[in-house]
Amino acid sequence: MSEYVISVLTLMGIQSFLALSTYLLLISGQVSFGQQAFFGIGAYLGGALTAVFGAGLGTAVVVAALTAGLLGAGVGLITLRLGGLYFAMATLAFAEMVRLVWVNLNWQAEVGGFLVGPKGPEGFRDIRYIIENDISGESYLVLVLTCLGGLLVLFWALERSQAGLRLRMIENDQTAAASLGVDGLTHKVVVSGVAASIAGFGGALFAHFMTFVDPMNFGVMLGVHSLAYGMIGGMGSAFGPLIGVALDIGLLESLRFLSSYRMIVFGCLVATILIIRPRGLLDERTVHALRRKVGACIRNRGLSNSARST
Amino acid sequence: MKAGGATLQVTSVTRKFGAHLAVDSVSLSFEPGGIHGLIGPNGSGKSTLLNIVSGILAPDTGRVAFGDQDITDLPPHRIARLGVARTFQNLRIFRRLSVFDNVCAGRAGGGGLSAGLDDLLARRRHFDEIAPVLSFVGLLERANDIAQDLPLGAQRRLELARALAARPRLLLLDEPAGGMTPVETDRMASLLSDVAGRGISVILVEHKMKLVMGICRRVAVLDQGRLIACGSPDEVQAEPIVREAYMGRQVEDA
Repeated sequence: MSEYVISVLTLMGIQSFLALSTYLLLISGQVSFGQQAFFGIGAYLGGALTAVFGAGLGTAVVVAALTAGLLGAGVGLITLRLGGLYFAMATLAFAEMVRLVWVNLNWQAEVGGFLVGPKGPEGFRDIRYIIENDISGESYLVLVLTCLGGLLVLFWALERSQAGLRLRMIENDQTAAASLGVDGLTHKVVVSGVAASIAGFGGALFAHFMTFVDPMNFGVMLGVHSLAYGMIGGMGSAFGPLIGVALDIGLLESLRFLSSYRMIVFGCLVATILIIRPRGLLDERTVHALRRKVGACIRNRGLSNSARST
Repeated sequence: MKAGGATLQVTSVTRKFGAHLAVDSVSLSFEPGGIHGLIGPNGSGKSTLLNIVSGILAPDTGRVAFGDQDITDLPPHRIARLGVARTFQNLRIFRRLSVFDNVCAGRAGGGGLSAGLDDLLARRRHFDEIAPVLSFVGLLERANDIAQDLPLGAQRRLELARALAARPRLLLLDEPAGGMTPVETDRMASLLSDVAGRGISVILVEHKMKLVMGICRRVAVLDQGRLIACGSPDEVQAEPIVREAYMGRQVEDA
């Protein structure tokens, strides 16, 4: 694989964390424009942990994810009493506040004779962990995809569990869910914590992949894209947002020859998909039909196997 | 939760919407067992009263008790966990979930946050519990359909099945036969009689007099937020004030 392909694939893998973070909120009925805030918190905190404090990559990523998660639950506790559009606005405001913190954050420490750390609008340079530790692009891609695979297994388990059903209940109709004993607010606060920690995890991976980040990385457009992943890809399964990421980054990269017109082409495509399939390509109906078909296949094969063995 | 047992006691409950008195110091007691009708003209406060009992609305004054527990200030999900299930006048099925998952949802709400996280194959294992409920309301063949594809009558039966799957002690039904054809209404009536036969107490808000008078043990009548009559179906029908509420008065009171 060429270096270019590896780096595009790594970027897709990392964006998938952000996509799944927003997707988890979507399937419990919350539209957030603010997950880039937690992605940024993960990036800055994770970066600082390795570059300034000399922590290992694993520690940095986990601590970044946990911190983002706690913050996410806290923000959720405050904002989730707002409904629908108001919640979306609150998340957007929060994300912009966090971005402005990065713009104004000047905090550098001397490491090995160099000043390292966030330097306001210029960003946070020299997050050199993967260079210093000689981690190749390929092995970093494997690392990212392994973490993503683990996350997908968790999503698979969630969608089959009663807890996952309760999230869908809340998304479909919170009043009806409450009438069956589901405590919507508690579920949403926990979901917003978990979603934030997924974004923070991805953010820490992002910082180490890029080796430098700046406040522009975590602007509103990233939030819009992360929401678009789930909405284009579909809200029926965790593979939906992954398809969204592949389409988004894949298209943007392959349309590079159109130079500045590519965002126009991309925008039209997104609008078209959302008109034709309002709940995305892999929407709930499609996923339900697919699951039934796959289930029937497995059962048939099981039957023919048992027929053969008797 | 086992069937039977608890009395629902509503004590001088009042609820205003702005200047409009939706429920005006209503006191009612619903003994366990059987179907209790709650009738009245449009806007008489029946749905408001159901919403207060199920915790969706808070009363301005007055108390609601279920068994020996005061439930006035409990949020809806806590009231549901005490064994009070309900359906809604404007149908609140989970439209994008399958019929099967809708009924599973009745079983999913019970525990706390972590309940069922460990239970990966819960839905499959619950099949044995869900299938009888689905066949009770005649929806077993449509278990795999998406709920919003069902016709209205079937959607109402699905909402009933979902509430039954929660194994309630008390079932609050807000116009379960609303928008139904006469044939569907008869089918709903026999379903409700069967539900009551299983020892589940039912409070039935309904406009269709034939349905209410045919299956209810007792009937309470609301008019403009006030309780104007309460008794057996025959007693209530004989009350002149009830006829007045429905047919109008010949001479307006001062």
